[in-house]
Amino acid sequence: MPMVLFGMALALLIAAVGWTRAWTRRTESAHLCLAWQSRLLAESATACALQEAMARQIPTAKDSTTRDTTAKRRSTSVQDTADSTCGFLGPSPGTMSWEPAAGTQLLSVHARGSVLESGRPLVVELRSVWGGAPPPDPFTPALSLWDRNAGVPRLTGKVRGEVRLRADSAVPVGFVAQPSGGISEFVPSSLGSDTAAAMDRMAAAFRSEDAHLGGARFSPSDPPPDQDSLVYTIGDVVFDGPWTGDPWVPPGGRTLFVEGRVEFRGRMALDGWRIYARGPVVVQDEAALGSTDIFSQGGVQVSDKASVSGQILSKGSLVVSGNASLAAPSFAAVWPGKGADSIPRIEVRDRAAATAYLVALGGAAEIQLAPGADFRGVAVSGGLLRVEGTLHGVGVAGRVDCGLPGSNCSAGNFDRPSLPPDFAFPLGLPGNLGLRLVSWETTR
Amino acid sequence: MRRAYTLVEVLMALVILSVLAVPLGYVLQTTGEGSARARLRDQALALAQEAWTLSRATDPDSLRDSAWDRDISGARWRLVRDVFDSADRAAAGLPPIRPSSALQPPVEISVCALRARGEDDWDTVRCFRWLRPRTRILP
Repeated sequence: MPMVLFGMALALLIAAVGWTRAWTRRTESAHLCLAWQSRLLAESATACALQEAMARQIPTAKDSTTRDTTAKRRSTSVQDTADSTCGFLGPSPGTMSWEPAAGTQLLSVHARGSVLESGRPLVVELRSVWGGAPPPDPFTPALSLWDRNAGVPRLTGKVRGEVRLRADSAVPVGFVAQPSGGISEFVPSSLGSDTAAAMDRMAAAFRSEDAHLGGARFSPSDPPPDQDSLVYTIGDVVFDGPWTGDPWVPPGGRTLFVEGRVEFRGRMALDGWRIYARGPVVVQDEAALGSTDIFSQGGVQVSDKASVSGQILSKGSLVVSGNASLAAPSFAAVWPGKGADSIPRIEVRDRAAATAYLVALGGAAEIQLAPGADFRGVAVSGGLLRVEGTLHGVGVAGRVDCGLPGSNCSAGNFDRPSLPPDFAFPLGLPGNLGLRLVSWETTR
Repeated sequence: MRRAYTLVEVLMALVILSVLAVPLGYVLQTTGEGSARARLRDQALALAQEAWTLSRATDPDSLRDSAWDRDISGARWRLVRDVFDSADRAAAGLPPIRPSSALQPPVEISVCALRARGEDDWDTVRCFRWLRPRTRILP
């Protein structure tokens, strides 16, 4: 009898172990499949976001026949966050969604795919950055000057590359006549409409029920609330990282609307945020903002050892100073405001570094590159371009100045060949419809 | 001296074991089958991922309907890639993806992993579908 009982126990044990292993394997297999499915949904959302963004670049007539109603009756629903459709029939229940960027000059897509696993969402997020390929002709010279009345510049510094002048008659030896056209060739066509869209979005957020009255101060012990969209009216928002030790890493991929000032200080690494502010945005100390879209109506300052990469659209000024940096890929544009902000200004001061596409709009605009600053990229100014050090890349301006009276460019160097070969140009430049994927990363 | 088992004891043991053997056998069989199914589905997923990698590395305009055969552990598999175009979408009752003047619509790709049951008899184990932008993707 003991042998029989032992045999029974052994058989039961074998059955239990086999059952457990098979069950575990099936669970793991199902989880892998769902994770893959959510990744495919996130990738599909990226494709749809691109479609939507490019449609905004060059507006097309609305086609009512393509309005998607399948989302409601198919197994995969598509959450369109903007006025667009991307009908897609997926093989399993899930959703894909994306956040519209603050501007589409350098398109940052934050896409999300989610499926349900045991009633809980299994989410995969993708982040991708898309830039344009360089148009073949306008960006080949080292320097293009557009102001007919500025006279012939005295370029006694080093110039590696062609210099083009806009002139009605023959240009002096050493210069090339600028073909007809205007500075608009160097400015993304959707900049105006994207700026207006960002302002509308911000105004709508402040009117929404989600808006908190007053500001906020976030720190490692008091992180931002777990919401995709954070709205603060009549107040400032401060992100306060530690001064020593490991940097604080707040959760990524949020959208922040602030009616006042936004400040990032201390040691922190913020990733994939979209920041809309009526007041100034200040990034200082050792704060690092990666793949971030900033839309500000009060100017942007990046100082100390802080760094920012992404898109910056600002009224007034953008100042990068100290040892701060604008890291690639970055696009920044400023436009005139009122009063003290009436002159749109981009300054790369001190020992700051920038690898970016910079645009200062308006006839009074200024871009200033200090002697110790390291600038690589394209600087487009509707007014003045002041280069006191070396511009590694392309300069485009109404007129040029290098800071020394009487010898207007003895201190400035222009080096077109040192523009990085993989430099990301904005989307929507006239004549440039090429798309290039700059980076692609699964974030969860 | 050790006492031997009586006939009654042996018969009782046989009866108990035979009663238990039926559900135990069933449990072992179903767990085995479940495990085998999970293994099959894992293999199908791996094959679909292979097709996805291949599709990403291909220029979107060069993507075509294709099929590949694979032998894995003595089993024959077939990967079928279907590139949906506007006609396919219409046939499936789907609306066209809104075109943009600046960018062609994304490519819609479906990949199914099939396992051979007979000479020309295929069992669809898993299918996936996704959209990819009509531009070159980084490896």
